[in-house]
Parts: sequence; C-alpha cells; structure tokens
Amino acid sequence: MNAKPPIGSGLFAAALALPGLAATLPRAAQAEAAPAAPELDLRYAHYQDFQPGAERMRVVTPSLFVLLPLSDAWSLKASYTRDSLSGASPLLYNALSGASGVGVHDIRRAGDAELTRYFGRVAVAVGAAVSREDDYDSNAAHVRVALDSADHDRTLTFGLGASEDTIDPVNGLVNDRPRHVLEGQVGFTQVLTRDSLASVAATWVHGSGYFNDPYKPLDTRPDQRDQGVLLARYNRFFEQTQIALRTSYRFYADSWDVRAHTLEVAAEKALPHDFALTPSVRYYTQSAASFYRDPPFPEGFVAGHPYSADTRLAAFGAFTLALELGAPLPGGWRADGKFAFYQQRSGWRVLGSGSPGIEPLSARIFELGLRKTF
Amino acid sequence: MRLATLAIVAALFAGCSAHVQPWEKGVLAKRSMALDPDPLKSRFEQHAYFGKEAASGGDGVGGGGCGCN
Repeated sequence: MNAKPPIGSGLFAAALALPGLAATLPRAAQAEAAPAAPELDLRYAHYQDFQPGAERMRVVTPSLFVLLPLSDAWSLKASYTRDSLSGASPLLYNALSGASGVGVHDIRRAGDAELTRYFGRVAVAVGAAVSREDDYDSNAAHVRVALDSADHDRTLTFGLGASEDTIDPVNGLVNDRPRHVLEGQVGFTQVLTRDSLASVAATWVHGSGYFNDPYKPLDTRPDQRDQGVLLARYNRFFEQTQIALRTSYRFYADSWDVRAHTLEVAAEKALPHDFALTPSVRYYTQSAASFYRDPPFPEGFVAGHPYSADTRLAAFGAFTLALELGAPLPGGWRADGKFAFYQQRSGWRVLGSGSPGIEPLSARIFELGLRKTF
Repeated sequence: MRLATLAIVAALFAGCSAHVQPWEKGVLAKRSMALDPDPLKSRFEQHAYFGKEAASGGDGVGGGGCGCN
C-alpha cells in the first residue's frame, strides 16, 4: 500500500513569517501556506527478506518525488515508484511459491499527484493515485482539509479517501474481482512548547469485495474488512544535545479480530558540518485473525468457512533497528543512507502468546536518498 | 471509546500547551521536527511493513492498494 500524505502538518505556517525560514521549512510544514521553493527527492531502496537457510523475497524500488509551488495560493506534488519484485515468498506464507519452488516475478508501477489550494488558514488538497501490477490494479482518490488556529498553534485535519481495486491473479483462480475501500480520518496537531509538538489522528476504513489471497490454497477470507487506527505522535527537540526525538504509537483493530500495537522512536542527532545521524527502533505486535489456523496445513479448514494459513495473519511480534546518516553535498543537494534490520518472531508477541510453528522472518533494507530544494 | 480517547488527548493538549509566539517557532520549523520529515522514505517503509504485517495505515487516506498483502 502506498504511504499516505502526512496529516496535521500545517502548524508551522506561522514560521513562514520569520525571515530566512521559508527556504528551510520542511515540506510537511506547509499545509496552510504555499511552499516557497520547488523540491526534488530521489530514492533507491533495496529490500531482501530471508528465513533460516534461505533467501526469500527481494524488492528493488527507485522512486521520485517533486513539489512545485504554482503560485502563492497553489502547489502541486507528485511521485512515481517502481517496485521490482523477485524471489520466493516465505515458507508457509505462500504455498505456491514457497513449497513448490516456483519463483515470483512482478513489477509494480505506482504514481500519485496532489493539488493544494491555500486560503489563508485553510488548505484544501485533492489527490489521486494509481498502481499497476500484473495481477492487481488500484485507482484511488482523496480530499483533505486542514484548518489552522488563529495563533497557528493547532491544526485540525479532515480526510476522505476511496479506492477501487481489481484482482486478476496470473494463476486464473479468479478473474477481475473487485475490492472497494472507503476511508475517513480526523487529525489534530498541537504545538506544546517552543521545542515540542504532539499529534493524534483517528482513521476508519471500510473495505468490501475480494480479500482472499488467490495464491494460497484454500485461503477464504470474509468479503468485508473494517479497520480502525489511532495514531499518536510526539516530537521534541533537545537544544543542548541538538537531538530531535520523534516518537509514535499506533493502535490498530479490525473486524477480523486483529489487534496490533506499534511503537517507534527515532533520535536525529545534528552533527558538525550539517551531517546528521539517526538511530531508530520500532516494535510491532499483533494478535491473530479469527480465521487464521496454525500449521500443519490444512488443519482447521472447513469448507464454506473463513480460513487462512497466511502467517501474516498469525500472532507475532517484530523489531526493526535502523541507522541513518545524512550528509550535505555540493550544489545544495543533500544525501542520506539508511540501513535497517527487521525480524519477526512469534515469541516476541506481547499481550498474549504467539502462534506456534512459524519460522522467524528477517529482512535487510538499504536506502539511498538525494534531495534538493531549489 | 475512540471518541473518549480523542477527547482525553485533546484535553491533555489544551492543558499542557502555552501559546508559542511565531518568533519562537524556529526549532519547530526544522525538517527533523516534522511529523513526517521524508514522505518518500516513509512511503517505502510503510509499503514494506504492509507486505509483512496485518496492521497498516493511520497516517493518511486515499493512497490506494497493492497486491503485496
């Protein structure tokens, strides 16, 4: 799934009034004032996951982002991503590729654009996104309204989104099956002090249509999925040590009985000569979907009832450890490199026991980015 | 329940914040203090997690779906 536009990000608009600040304002701080300068971001990412004794899925992702101020009142941003996916799905995830040894090759091309109109303390954005794969197409649209308070210390954000997806698996199990998704979100961001801010957002998602994984034998899921997500974030800057601390907590619940908690902490340390070092950690835990069945496959399967052996719907916990280095380049460019290590284990679940019989899954992620504000 | 949680959080925000003058917002305007300092990066990372975990979303709407989950 595509990542989504940031919410509640316009509370810094007042800072635009400060001489010299506009050029350094982050993109996410410009919801109620048109950005002052164009920006270009280029990114290359390499993802490889593996299980004990075997490498599995590899994804190579170049991507591009542009932000264009069109006038004092209008701006446009757009991005393009190409995922090149190869390898075999993890054991027990995908009986077709994992058990039979048949490889997976797919290319996903995704693009999106968003046009924003600024009306003083109000900004209205409309956007669209498309994604194309051999077996999955998605067309989405959204509208987002951000309202700044008179003192610019708080921002209220409302968002509505919809997507129409079509699933057409290469194995021909089904043809052109639809999935419809409606989303709504309310967000609130508050400046707490001159060096801290907090944000909370609640999101509701209603999905209906085809949710089965057509590559997993017997996989039979409900044709409806309702999801609720609460995301809280808190950022604080420590002047003495020049560290920006970014924290977040996400609670997730859905109608398939999955409950999940995600905690993330990143500490960006400003170094001399405009370098920056950012260690980060993420912890994630989820309960199993009500229709997930432990191995051995296909124990627990009853014809006509929901069933899945997809271990992404099992109970487990996961950690991510990452380190990122940012560096200035000549000509106003900035580079960053990031390495992350991810691992999920059933024994790492909290608030309950993990699902039995699952091999640990690990992933290495490398990212390289280049960015310039013109 | 969710509305109650939101109300509590909003009340906490209201209680612990004091008005910060525009000229005091230089630190908050740093890219490192943005809620999402690098949307392209977070988009890739959320996409990677979406392919391996059951939970997703929370930071926006209307991004569309994909066949990775």
